[in-house]
Amino acid sequence: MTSATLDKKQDCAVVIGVGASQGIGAAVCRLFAKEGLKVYVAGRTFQKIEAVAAQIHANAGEAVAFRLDAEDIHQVQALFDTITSQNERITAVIHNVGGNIPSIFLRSPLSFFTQMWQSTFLSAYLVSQSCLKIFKDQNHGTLIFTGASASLRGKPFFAAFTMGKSALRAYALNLAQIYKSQGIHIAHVIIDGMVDGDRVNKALFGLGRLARLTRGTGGLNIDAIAENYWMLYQQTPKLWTHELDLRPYQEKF
Amino acid sequence: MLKKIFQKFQKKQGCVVVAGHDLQLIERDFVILDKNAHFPLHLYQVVHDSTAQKMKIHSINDGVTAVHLNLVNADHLKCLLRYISKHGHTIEFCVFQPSFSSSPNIEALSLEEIEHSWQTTGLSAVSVAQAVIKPMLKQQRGTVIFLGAPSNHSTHYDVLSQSMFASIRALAQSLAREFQPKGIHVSYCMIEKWEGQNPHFTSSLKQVCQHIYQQPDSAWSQELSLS
Repeated sequence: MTSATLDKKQDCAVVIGVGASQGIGAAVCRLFAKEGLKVYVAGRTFQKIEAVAAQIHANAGEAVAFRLDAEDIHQVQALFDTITSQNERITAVIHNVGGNIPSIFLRSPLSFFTQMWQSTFLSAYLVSQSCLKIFKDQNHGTLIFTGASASLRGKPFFAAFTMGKSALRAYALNLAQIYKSQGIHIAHVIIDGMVDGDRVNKALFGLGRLARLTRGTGGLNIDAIAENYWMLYQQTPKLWTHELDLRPYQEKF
Repeated sequence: MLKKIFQKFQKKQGCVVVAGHDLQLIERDFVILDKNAHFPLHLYQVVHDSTAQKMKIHSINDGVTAVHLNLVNADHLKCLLRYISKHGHTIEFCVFQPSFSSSPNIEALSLEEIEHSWQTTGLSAVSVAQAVIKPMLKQQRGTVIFLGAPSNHSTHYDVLSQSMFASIRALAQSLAREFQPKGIHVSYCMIEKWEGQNPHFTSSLKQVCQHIYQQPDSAWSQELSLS
């Protein structure tokens, strides 16, 4: 074994905001692990992230379940400190935090708006500031943020969600311009439609599935979404995508 | 008793609420005329003060009432609405001005600074909108303008501020789609560079606000820019 081999760090991806096995975060974890990266599966609920890591192990991939609250600056920093203290190189970070919760504007307390802002925007800020320090030292890295239709359009009953997602989009696109000269690829993916995952399918005792199936082509497939994240990761610095929108082919515009 | 009955049947006068930050600069010039351009609306100049324990009326003169309160305290805003009603005014028009201060180095910001930025922009916007839209719905009319700035690649604002302006723009869109069918005109006005000290700037801003307020409901603007 040569010293060069000894010094070579293992490439890994960090996916933050992993929930149900049938969700975007989990699908991205599975694909990145299948392609050979060690994947840190980070999310709030230990049983869920353990289940995703177990699936990856069962398919001979490498995964570590890491429980964290992405709105807590100390927990976010601890995740990156843990990884960098090992002989590993973070090459991709995926931020996939923040669920869509409708509310009646005039009856929603200010605390609800702050909670939504923390999950959709503040968590992204904390994650990005921690990982960009590492990427700058490496002169390399891909940071992908998950957006939504609400990143582009404010709709009734979704004021809180759309405020956070729009702020995140502006932040991501500005960061992309600032850091691209340093070898860091930042992309914002707009998931412009209902996702064929557990969050929608299990909502309102299964009525969510009905809503998805009666609109367009039945929603966005999570594995197809993950393929797009992988494509972004594979792009070379000669031609980077900074924003990518995804929607089913028959979705109504 | 007679006074109360008299007040109940007395016709209320329209007013404009200008709420936000750095408002002292526009006080002198911000005279908005009513829809028929006959009379000036009474101006409530509501300045955010995060340390305020309760609403304070600082001065009342020449059709202007200066108020200091904490914009993200719902009780303070309820108190303001009671005061406005008690003084025979109805809110016809509201202009929200976020903080336009800028922190150039985003990597050096503390968590407290980021949360403060949210409170002085997006959260204040929500709080003011909730307060003024409720009485406007009862009247089935009213105009709300959110001031802001472009959300991408601006040379005048830092990355965090641009993100916060994006959130206000999204709020304005969401509220426009929800409340315009109920007679409430909601608009977002992007300002390339805030120049509160410049009288030409404040005069132009007032002119735009006056125009938006007087737009007929068959042709309302949801978004416009000033540069």
